[in-house]
Amino acid sequence: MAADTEGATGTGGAKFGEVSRLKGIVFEYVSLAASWVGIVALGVLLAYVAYDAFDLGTASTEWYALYGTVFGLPTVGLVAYLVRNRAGGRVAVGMSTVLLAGVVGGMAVLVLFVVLDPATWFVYVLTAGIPTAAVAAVGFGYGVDPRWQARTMLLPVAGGGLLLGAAATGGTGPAAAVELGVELLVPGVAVAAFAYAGARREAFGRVGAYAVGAVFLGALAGFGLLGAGGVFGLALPSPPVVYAAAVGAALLGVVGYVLAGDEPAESLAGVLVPGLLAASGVAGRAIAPPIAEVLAGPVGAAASAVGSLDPGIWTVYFLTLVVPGSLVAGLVARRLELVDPESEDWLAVPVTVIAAALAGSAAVAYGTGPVADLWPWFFGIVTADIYLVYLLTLLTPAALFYARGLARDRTRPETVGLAAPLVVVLAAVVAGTTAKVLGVPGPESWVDWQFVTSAASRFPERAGLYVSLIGSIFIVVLVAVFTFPLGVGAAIYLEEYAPESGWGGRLTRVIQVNVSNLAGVPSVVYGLLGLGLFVNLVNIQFGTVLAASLTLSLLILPSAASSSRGRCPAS
Amino acid sequence: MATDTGPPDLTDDGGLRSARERTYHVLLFVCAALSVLVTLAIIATLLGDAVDFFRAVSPVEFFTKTTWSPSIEGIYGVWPLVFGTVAVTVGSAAIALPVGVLTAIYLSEYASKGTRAVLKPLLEVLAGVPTVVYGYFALVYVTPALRVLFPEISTFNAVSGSIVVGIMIIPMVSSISEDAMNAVPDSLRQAGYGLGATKFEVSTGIVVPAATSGIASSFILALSRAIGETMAVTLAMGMQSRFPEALTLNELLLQPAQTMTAAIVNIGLSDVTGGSVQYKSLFAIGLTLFAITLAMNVVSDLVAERYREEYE
Repeated sequence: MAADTEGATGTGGAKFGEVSRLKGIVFEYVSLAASWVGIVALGVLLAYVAYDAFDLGTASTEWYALYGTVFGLPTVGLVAYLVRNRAGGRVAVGMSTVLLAGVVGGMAVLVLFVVLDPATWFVYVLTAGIPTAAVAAVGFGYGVDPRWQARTMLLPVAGGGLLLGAAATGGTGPAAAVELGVELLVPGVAVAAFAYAGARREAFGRVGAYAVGAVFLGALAGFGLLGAGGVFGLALPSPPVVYAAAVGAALLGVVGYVLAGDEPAESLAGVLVPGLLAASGVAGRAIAPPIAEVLAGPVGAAASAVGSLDPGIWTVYFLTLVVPGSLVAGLVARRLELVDPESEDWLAVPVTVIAAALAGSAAVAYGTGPVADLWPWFFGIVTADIYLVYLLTLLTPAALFYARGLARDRTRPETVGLAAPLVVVLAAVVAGTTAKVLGVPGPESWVDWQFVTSAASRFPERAGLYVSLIGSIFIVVLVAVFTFPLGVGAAIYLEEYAPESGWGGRLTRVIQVNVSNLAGVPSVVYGLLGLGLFVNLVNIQFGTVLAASLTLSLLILPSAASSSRGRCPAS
Repeated sequence: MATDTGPPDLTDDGGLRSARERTYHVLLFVCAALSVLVTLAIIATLLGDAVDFFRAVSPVEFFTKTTWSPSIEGIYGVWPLVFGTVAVTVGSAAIALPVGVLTAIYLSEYASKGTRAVLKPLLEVLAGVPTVVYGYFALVYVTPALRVLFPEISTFNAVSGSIVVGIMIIPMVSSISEDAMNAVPDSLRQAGYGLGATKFEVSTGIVVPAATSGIASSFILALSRAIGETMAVTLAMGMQSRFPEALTLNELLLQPAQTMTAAIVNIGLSDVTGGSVQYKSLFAIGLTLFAITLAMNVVSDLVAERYREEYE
C-alpha cells in the first residue's frame, strides 16, 4: 500500500527532524516485533513439545553430531540451493506438498480399508468394478454417445455400493468372499448385458435406465414413508405392501412417461429390466456355492505356497487396487492433458507405482537380516496389504506430479526440485541406519510406530492414539461428505440465484447476515444443539461418530458456505 | 434426460427443462435456508430446556447468587462463571488488541511485499492451531514458566489461559483491522505527506483514525471469540468455579476459575441424567452465552456499518 511512498519520509536534513524520526523508527520496530510475537511464542511452544515428544534430552552428543552431519548438512545445503534456484524451489515445495497430502490421505484410505476387510473389497470389485469396465468396453467398442455411456456406468457403481452394505455384514474368509462375489457378479454381468442392449437400441436402454432408477426411488420413498409413519404414528400397511405400492407407482410413472412421450412403443420392454436384474440376482445366489467351492481351493493352495505374507489379500489388492488404480490415474492424466498427451510420459505413473509395490512388498515379506533388524517397525509390523493400500495413495499423486514435470522439459534446472523430498528422506534413513549400526544412543522417542498403532492404556509406554486417530478420521470424512454439497449449494444459491430486491431480496439479506452471525456462535453452543437435536430428539446414540459429525457439519456449514463464495467468514 | 439423441429440437422439452431448473433452484435455496434453520434450531433447543430450568431455579437466583455448585449444594448462581469468562476475555484482550493493531499497522503501512508474503500465512497458522492444543500449552508450559514470576500461582489459573487465548485471537484482530487499513485510500496518505507529516504521523494520525470502524469491529469479534473459547480455557483454567473475594492479583488471575464454556463441558462430561435440573442448567448457560456472542456480533456489524467512512 503505502510502502511506495517510503522516500517521502527520508528527505530533509539529518539534524532537522531527528527527534520525530526516532519516534517513527521506534514505532516501526515495535510494530514489527508485535507482528512476530505471537508467531515466535507459538514456535517456542512447538519446539518444547517436539523436545518432549521425541524426548530429545535422552540422546547423546554423538547422535546430534551424526544427525547434524548426515541429515542436517545435506538438508540445509539443499534448501540453500533451492532458495537460489527459485524455479527448482517451487517444484520442490510442490512435490513435498503432494507427498504430504499423500501421507495424510493415505491414513484416511487406510482406515477405509481397515473397516472394509479385503473380502468385502474383493466383492465390491467383482460387483461394481468388472461390470463398469464391461460397460466402458462396450461403449468404446460401439462408439456410444459418451454422456449416455457415463450414465450407464453409474448403474453398476451404485448397485455395487448398495450391495456393499449387505456384503459388509455378510460372511468373512476367502470362500465366503468368493461366494458372495459370484452371487453378486451375475447381476453385474446382467447390467453389462443390458448396457450392451442399450448401446444397440438406445430407446430400450433409456427406458431400462429410467425403470431401474424408478425402482430405486420407489424403494427410497417406501423407506421414507415407513420411517415417517413410525415417527408420526401413522397407520400404514405392512412394509412389503408399502414398498410394492411405492415401486409400482414409480414404474407406472415411467410407463406413463414413455406413452406420453414419443419413444417407440416397443421400448416399453425396458420396464422389465429391473425384473431381469432381480431374476439374475436370484440365479447368482443359486449357482454361487458350487463355484466358490471350486475357486476357493486354488486360492488356499496359493496361500500356503508363498512365505509369510497372506497371498490372497496381497493378490486381491495388487490386482484390484494397485494395477488398475495406477493405470487409470495415468490414463486420466493423459486424457485431461495433465501430462503430455503426445508422449508416453503417463506410463511413469503405473510403472513407478507397480515397481514400488513389487519391491516394497518383497522387502516387507522377506525382509530379514541386519537391515530388517534395524527398522523393525517397517519390516516387522507393516504387512504387505497395509503397504499396498498406503503406497497407492502416497505415490500416485507424486508420480503424476513427476510425469507432469517431465512434460515441461527434461533438462530444466527445476527438475532437480522433484528429487528434493527424496534426498531429505534418504538422508534421514541413512542417518538413522548409521546411528543404529554404530550403536549411538538416540532419543527414546515417545512418538513411534507403537504409539500410532496402540489403543489408550493405563501404562504410558503402552499407550497410543490409534483409536482416537481412527475416530478423528471417521468424523472428518463424514463431515466432508455432509458439508460439501450443502455448503457449495448454499454458496451457489447466494451467488447465482438469490434475488436482490423485494421480498426475496430481504430474505437473501436475512440469510447472509445469519450466515455471518452463525460463524460467531461458540462451538460449545453447537455441542448443546447436537445434544438437544440429534441425541435427544432424533435419538442418535450419545457419543457416536454420526452424532458428532452431524453436529460438526452444522458448525462448519457457515464457514463452508462463505469460503465457497470466495470470501472468508468473520471468524 | 431424453435430449442427447436425434436432431436438435429447440421447441421440445421446454416444460421438462424448466421443471428441472425449478427443482435445482428449490434445492439450492434449501441449502442456503438451512443456515436459518440451524439458527432457529439453536434457539429452540436452548430455549426449550432453559425455560424448564428457570421453572425449577428462579432467574433471580441464577443472575444474583455468587456460588455455582450444581452437584453438591444445588446452587445455581451464574456470577462465578461470568467472572471466569470476563477474566479470560479481559486478559486475552490485553494481549491481542494492542499486538493485533500494531501487526495490522505494520502489515499495511511498513511491510515490504516479501515480508507480507511470509508474515500473513504465519499469522493465519496462529488461528489454525486446534484450541485444545493451546490449552495443553498453557497447562504444561506457560504455567510453569509463570511460576518463576509468581511463585504462588496455582496449576490452573486465568493468566496462562488468557495468554494462549490472546495469541489465538491475534490474527482475527490483525486481519480484519488490516483490511480496514488497506481500504483507506492512498490519496489520504499522500495528503498527509504533502503537509509534511512523517510516516509515523501518517500511520497513527491518518490511517488508524480512518480505519476506526473496522478496527472496532475486529475488537468486538475477537472478544466474542474469546468469550466463546472452550477447550483452551477448560484445560488452562480448570473446572473449579470461584468468585473473587478481594480485588488482588492473586484472587483475580492466579487462581483457578471456571468459564461459562468450561461449566458446560464439566456438566456435559459428568454423568448427569437427561432431564435433571443440572442437565437443563447446561442450556441456561448456553443460552446466556449465545445471547452475549450474538449481541456482540450484531453490534460489530452495526459499528462497521454505521461508522464506515465511504471513500470514492
